Amino acid sequence: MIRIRLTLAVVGLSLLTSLVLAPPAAADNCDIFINPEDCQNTGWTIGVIATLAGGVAVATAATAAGGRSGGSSGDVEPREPVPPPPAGSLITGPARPDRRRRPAAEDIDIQPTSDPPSITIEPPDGTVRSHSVTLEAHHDPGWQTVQEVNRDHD
Amino acid sequence: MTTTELGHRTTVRSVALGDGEDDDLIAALAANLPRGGIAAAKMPGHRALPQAAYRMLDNRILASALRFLDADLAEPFLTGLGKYRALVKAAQDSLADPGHKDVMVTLIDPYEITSKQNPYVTLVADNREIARVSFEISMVFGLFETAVAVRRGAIESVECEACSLTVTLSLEGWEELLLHRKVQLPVRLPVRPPVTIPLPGGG
Repeated sequence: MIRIRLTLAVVGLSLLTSLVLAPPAAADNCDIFINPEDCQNTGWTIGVIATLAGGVAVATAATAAGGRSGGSSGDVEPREPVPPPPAGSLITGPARPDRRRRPAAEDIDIQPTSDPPSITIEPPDGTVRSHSVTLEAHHDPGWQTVQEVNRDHD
Repeated sequence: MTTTELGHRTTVRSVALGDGEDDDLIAALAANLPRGGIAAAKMPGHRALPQAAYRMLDNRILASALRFLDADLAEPFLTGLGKYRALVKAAQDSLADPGHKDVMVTLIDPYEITSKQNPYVTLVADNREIARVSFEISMVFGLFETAVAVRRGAIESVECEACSLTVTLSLEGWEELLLHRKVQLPVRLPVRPPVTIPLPGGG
């Protein structure tokens, strides 16, 4: 809205300028009656210059309004989304992560995580019918005997 | 019902799914997925990906689920056995004279050991978690006339002719099971190294 108001004001100002400057210029030449064509030519020249000046002013004002749209004073217009540059664009810059970009399947990493199992028994208290056999090993040290044998030597 | 013997380094996967190729097993699991797959349902706030991309993600998720089944089957089985009082007492008795006592315990009636695990898969993009897929792995060992040898407070071997195992793999939030197998599981398991039975009070 600010841009439109500023543009209308500058256009109006340029028209007013052309109207103010043209009559004196015309009067200078028309009053002395040197040449009626001078009167007409001078008026047109002044009018064209005023119109060009107005156009330049409009362009300058529009540029200034566009650059100020993010400022801290006045109305803040919502900024239009800027489309990303097409592939192969000559305008390049440092790559920045775009949060709106959705990953492709190849960009998604699969990370498996496993936790220890929870083990329960039935019945929960662990009391069951069972047989138990204890094997006790006993080493036998063995025994040795000594027998005295009398041999008669002839 | 198939029969698989539980021995040294028997995995859940080998008992429940056999020795098939990964692609075949993934296809078998994928047949029981919810309509539309896993990834599409878990990423509702994201821009729609092509169906082929969702299928690829689903397959990678299921491949991770298969790896969860590569765990040693004997570990939860022996941990459960160590919770029975008869075995705790046998461990105490064997420790009383560790040089000479072996205790043989036979659990007579049918009992059950249940192991539940909740592994999950995280989907990460740009170092940020965008979705999580949780599974539940349930294993129920049915014991009947199970003989256990205990020496020096640890299980040294287990034998069981009439054990069974039921394995289920499910997806959190989805009623239909991805996998359900029940097998006869004769056990002839030498335990190397022996698995210590936890005693009350840590003694």
